[in-house]
Amino acid sequence: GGGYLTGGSPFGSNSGSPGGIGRRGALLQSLRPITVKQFSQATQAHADAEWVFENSEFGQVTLVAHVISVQKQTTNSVYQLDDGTGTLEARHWPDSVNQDSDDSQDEVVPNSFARVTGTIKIFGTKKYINANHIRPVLDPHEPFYHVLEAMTVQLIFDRGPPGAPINGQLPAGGTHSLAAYSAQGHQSEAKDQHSHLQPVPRSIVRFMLSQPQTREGVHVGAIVKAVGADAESIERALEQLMDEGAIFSTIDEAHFQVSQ
Amino acid sequence: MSDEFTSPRVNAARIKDYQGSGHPVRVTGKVLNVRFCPDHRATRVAVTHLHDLFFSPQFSDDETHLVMEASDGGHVKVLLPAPPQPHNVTDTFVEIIGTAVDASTIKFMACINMGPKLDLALVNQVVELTFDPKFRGRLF
Repeated sequence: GGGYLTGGSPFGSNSGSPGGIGRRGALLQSLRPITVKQFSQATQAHADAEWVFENSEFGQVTLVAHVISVQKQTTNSVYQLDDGTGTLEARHWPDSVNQDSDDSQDEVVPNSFARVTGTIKIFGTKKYINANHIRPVLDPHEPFYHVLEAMTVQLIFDRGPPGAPINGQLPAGGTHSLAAYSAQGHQSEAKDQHSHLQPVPRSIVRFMLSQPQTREGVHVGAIVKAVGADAESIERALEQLMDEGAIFSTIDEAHFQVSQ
Repeated sequence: MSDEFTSPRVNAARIKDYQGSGHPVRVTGKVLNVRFCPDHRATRVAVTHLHDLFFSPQFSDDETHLVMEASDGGHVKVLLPAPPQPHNVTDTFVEIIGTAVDASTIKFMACINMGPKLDLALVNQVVELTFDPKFRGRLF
């Protein structure tokens, strides 16, 4: 999966858990696209705790914003950024660890868009971004891409990733990880996939799945006997299922297997 | 209120919601022409119809302004600062930040030049999405 979600427990453990430090290490591996408004609203239970916004935690964050001003000081540079949802300060301390040797070294200048990546820090009561990377945007569409990405990721935290099964269990509240949406039971998968079918095709598939799964599959005679519908209906249903790709014929025209 | 420091990105239709409030807005779009007073020199911008440079009956001659097409296609007049105050509008596509004077006019505060190519249909979809209740008030 993407880097947006943490590798924490799927049951939404609290930030105060004893495993806090280890979790925080994992959290910092995630990169969350945000707006300044989300930055402003993020809260921290105590110093060194994770920054929390609504239903999720922020590790590293990334923003695209209008550069209002740049102040180069002896040890660091201070950028005032505004993305339309608020303003924030990003501070960048260049050092040998952070400096990318292949950076284009394009300078970030006022009245341009820049992308900044870093962590939320607080000095006294003042929040700021400790930027480990700041650069001019590469393309004029980048600020709009960023807005859409921030929205998408927020929706994933609200609703789960797209394509999660309708009857999949969402962990109640707290944070959740991608692990909660992986492996589903084989049976429930079959039910989900085939519940939209008409009765006859559905019975056919259910019967076939209930048989020992072999390469040659099930003989049509067995299907007719088990499902109990007339031959014509069964033939029509088999054709429909083959058209949909749900089943396929195996050793000959009379043997069928379910597509997995 | 945290609203004080926001400058929402809008299209032409939405400017009226901020009119007269003194609240800055951002209009991303395409510069159509520059209208200049005879004794001021205009900086170079895109001109779609040459005759507009000299004849644009709907706009008056007494202040320096430009006309831009916002992401929804609506035209917006941007009142530029009177010289010697400079403005940095140089590209065809720009994001202009300013206060809404009326439903179709903004007063220039700042400009971000965005180059010769920008998909305004995409920009407009993004603008409209930021006003969707799912996001307005949370992310924007």
